[in-house]
Amino acid sequence: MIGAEQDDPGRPMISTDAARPPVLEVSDLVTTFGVGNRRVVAVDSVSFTVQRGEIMAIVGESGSGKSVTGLSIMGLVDPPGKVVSGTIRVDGVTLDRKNEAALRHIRGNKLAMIFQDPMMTLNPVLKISRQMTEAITAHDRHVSHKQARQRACDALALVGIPSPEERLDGYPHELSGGMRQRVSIATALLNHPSVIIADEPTTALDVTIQSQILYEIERICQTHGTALVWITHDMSVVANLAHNVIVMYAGRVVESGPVREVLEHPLHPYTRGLIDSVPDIDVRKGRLTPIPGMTPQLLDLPPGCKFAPRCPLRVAQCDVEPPLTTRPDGRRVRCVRPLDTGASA
Amino acid sequence: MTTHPYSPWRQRSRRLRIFGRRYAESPTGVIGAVIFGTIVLMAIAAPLLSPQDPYDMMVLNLMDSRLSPGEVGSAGFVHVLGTDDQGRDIWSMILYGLRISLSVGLGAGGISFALGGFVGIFAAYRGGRIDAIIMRLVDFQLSFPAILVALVLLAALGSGIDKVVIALVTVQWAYFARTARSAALVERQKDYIAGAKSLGLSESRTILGHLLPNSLPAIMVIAAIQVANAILLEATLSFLGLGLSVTEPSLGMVISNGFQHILSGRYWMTVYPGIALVLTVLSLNLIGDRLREMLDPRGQS
Repeated sequence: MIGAEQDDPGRPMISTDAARPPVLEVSDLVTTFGVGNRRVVAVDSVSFTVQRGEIMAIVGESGSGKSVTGLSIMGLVDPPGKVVSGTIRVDGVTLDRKNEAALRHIRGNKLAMIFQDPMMTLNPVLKISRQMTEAITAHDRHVSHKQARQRACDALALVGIPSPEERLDGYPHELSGGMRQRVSIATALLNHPSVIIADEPTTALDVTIQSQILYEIERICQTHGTALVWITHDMSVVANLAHNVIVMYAGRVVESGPVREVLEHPLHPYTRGLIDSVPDIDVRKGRLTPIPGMTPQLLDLPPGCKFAPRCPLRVAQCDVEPPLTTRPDGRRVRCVRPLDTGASA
Repeated sequence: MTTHPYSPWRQRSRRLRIFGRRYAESPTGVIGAVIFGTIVLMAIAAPLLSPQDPYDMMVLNLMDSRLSPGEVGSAGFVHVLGTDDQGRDIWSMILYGLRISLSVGLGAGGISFALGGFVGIFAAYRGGRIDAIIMRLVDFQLSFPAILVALVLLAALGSGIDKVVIALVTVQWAYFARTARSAALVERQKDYIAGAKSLGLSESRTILGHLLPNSLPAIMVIAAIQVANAILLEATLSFLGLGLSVTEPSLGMVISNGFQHILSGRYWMTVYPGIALVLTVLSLNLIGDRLREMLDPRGQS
């Protein structure tokens, strides 16, 4: 369900006040992977900013580079992958990619990450308490064991885990998937990060748990003013959670803007394709409209617009890749013939 | 304070019990563990179980040499397994020989385990060039026959228990490194390693606290087999006269001593120490097989 019609007053507007620096600033991020002796560009000149307390969704299909973008921000891209260029600023401080010690200080402290599969993100052989207190003591050596444990306990309570004291002494296999994901979220929250990057954290959970987790995260981000970068392929989650959205395709940003506007009046044919492939209970469409074709192989990208081969509206100009243009209203789009230019279709 | 249901001690002992129960599902595994346990106990209790200290020159009597099993010697006790050409009781020699063989095997196995395991996990964690260099070194090491490397090393270093251990570690670390690397490569791909890194944990904490404990089971399987191999290799070296000095006679040396007499029909000097060696190695292999079976997810019912 794309909740475009419903008005929800609970979601506060994010002030794009120019006086306050954005909490996360990504500019011209390029990440490549070595394949044989070629280098494949997985993330190509991605730029965006996230304000304090803002929830920014990054949407795209598998292989669109959305997860690699998240890992690149964290500095967790493993070889053969490499962040080639671009700057990342957190709280106004530019991250130095070469300084591993400085990165480590930022990770888990100002920048935290939640991963997709809660079955895999907790170490199976260590107790929850150990895994959580480790995150605290890694950044503050002066915290006593008792204090660290108390903070872990509080964090578990915050994400809605019943009897957190007992859970702390348990092992991950004793918890259900939803509980494990709550533990991951609690761990990410331990050091009160400025930004949390969440890589499809609800994809592996069933729908009821998913909405509970979404609710908890939204609540926590609101109360703490934590910015959230939510990486997902699920348009309905985007509609219900995010303030702003970035649509990625083949490693590039193809569209970005406030979530309401993007969902109601998509500018890029790909965005519309994504929206049309989500079932909508209010509108009885006979069939869902899938986007034809497959995401292109990064090793073998078309020369012009990367979406052109699958685009129903392609024209001759699409043989040259269009730049990402910023429109007067602040929305960005990478298309020679954006849809819905002013007058609604 | 009453014992909390989640107390760490209870957790650990519970997990050990579950492990033990699963291990015992296989009769061959149990047989291996029982034999090996008995052998270790016998080696520890050697002074109590043996009628004679075979290395105390004062109690040896040349008149007792080459007695066949069951004969009574001048000291007045039965030589159950006979004596060798210097009048030493074979049963006692086996017990004392086991002590040396086991400590060399376990010592060399343990050091190779630690060294090879760490190197392998480090290679897997770092990847790239460091991994390539370490693994080429492993390939290079494994391309030589173990016995050849050990012979060359011992010829250069001289004899003695420490030198034998050095030679055995040199030969065996590569096996551990390769197994540890492949186990760690699998674990490293899992999200909890990225999760640990995303919390800002240092490299050493990620490797020691997260990667190592999860890679350990695979390394433990080959550890049992490699301890057996170390014992065998040491016996071979001693048999060839290159291993331990005569003051530290291991099973291999006992076998070697009796070997000259086998054609004259005095089989007991070689055969019984040989059986002890075979049982030790066999039981370790049974244990190793059972551990591998337990860790192989395809074999789980």
